[in-house]
Amino acid sequence: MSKEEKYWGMSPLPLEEKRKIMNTEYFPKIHMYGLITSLIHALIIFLPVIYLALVHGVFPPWDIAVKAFIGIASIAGPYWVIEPISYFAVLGAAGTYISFLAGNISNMRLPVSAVAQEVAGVKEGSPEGEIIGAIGIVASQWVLSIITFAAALTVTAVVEIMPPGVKKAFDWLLPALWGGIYGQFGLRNPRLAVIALAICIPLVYSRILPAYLEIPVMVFGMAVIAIVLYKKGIWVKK
Amino acid sequence: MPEEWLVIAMSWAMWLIGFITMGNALIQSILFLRVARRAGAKLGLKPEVLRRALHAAFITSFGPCLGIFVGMVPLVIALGGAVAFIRESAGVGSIMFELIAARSGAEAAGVPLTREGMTLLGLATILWTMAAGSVEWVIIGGVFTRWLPALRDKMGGGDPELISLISVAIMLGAFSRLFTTDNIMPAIRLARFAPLTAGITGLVVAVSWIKLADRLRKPWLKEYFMLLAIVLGMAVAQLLFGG
Repeated sequence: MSKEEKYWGMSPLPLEEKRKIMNTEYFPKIHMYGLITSLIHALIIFLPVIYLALVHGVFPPWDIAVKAFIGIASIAGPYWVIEPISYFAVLGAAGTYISFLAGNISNMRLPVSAVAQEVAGVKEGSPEGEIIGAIGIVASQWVLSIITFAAALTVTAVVEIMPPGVKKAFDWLLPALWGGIYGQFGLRNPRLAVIALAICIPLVYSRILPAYLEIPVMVFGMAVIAIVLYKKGIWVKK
Repeated sequence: MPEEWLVIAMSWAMWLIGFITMGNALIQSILFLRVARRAGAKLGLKPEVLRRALHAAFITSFGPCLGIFVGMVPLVIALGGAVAFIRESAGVGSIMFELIAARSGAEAAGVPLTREGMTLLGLATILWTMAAGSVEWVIIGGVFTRWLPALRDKMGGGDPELISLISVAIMLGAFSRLFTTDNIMPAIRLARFAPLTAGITGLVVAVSWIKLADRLRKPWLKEYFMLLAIVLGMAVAQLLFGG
């Protein structure tokens, strides 16, 4: 399949014109809506706590609240900053707002955005990629809303009637997903795929870095390697 | 008679909060879809492209959502459906995060994370921990995302080929770490081969399916590759090593 056929979804407009459309019609609105809905959500997230405190008069004493917060912050803290920066280039602007408002990034948003762009035949990081990725992640939010509501109502009953083998098979869902997405991107650049694993396996095995730094080191390390190889014209046409 | 904390956790007010949480995320997604559609039309994207992307996204999200469905079991069992709905429809955290937050909150309040022994104070502490531990993502994502496009363009120097290559490299970087930690390390450290089998099956299925779709010149076939990779990966791992 030729490159033109593979990227059948790309618009014929010149890049400068596309960027102009994005910078006047797209990004300003996305950033405005993204900021407003995120700040509203930052309040909504505390509604269960506020409800318990105001209506039922229950709020943990501050020493317990602080202790609990430190417990979660020490685990999640690094990811608050690392994840938005690491994943932005793939999620795009709209995708980043949705992902950090409604979660499930590596297990759903990244694969959905990537598959939508692959099927639609657009290039990652292009204006078309931004729009297609956004549409894909919007769709994933609708499916998530329906499924989580269904799960909240029925999950215990449904899981009870599942044969044990089927239930157990869900333990392998994420490993299978990691394989699928690695295959998709490995096809795009097999050499970089081999390099990434060749660096990552010893890195993780040796436990030389704290676990929360492994993803950012791999993400930025691979970006630098890609830039160097490209600039030097190694393996890729400049 | 169920205990007081459970009555409150399952009250209509908590379900209402769930709908408000989900609703805000839905409003955001609808606003974004409108902006994306309009900009897409101005860019000259074919309606066919948008339709295929939407279709592919629905099919692809289905697999991970089923995983989330099953993953919600411990959360529903421990704290009831309403709390699980509030947190999973649009509460930022993955199941893993929610369980860690719930554990951290329960521990600080000195209660076990089970229905027996849970108290109203325990529930309040858990809800506080879940909210206080995840709001940072919403604020950081909401406030700082506007500066990130410039960062990406700077990395790629405005060259679309290079920006595309960097995006591919970033995905390989992130997923090589997940593949290594979840698939390869259990095999090396614990001689557990099911995750690696699932991963390799998923990889082979994805690669073969994409190549087949390209060879047949039927790009729409790709809509199914991730769902197939997940289902076959799970099935092969379970049949060979599930026990």
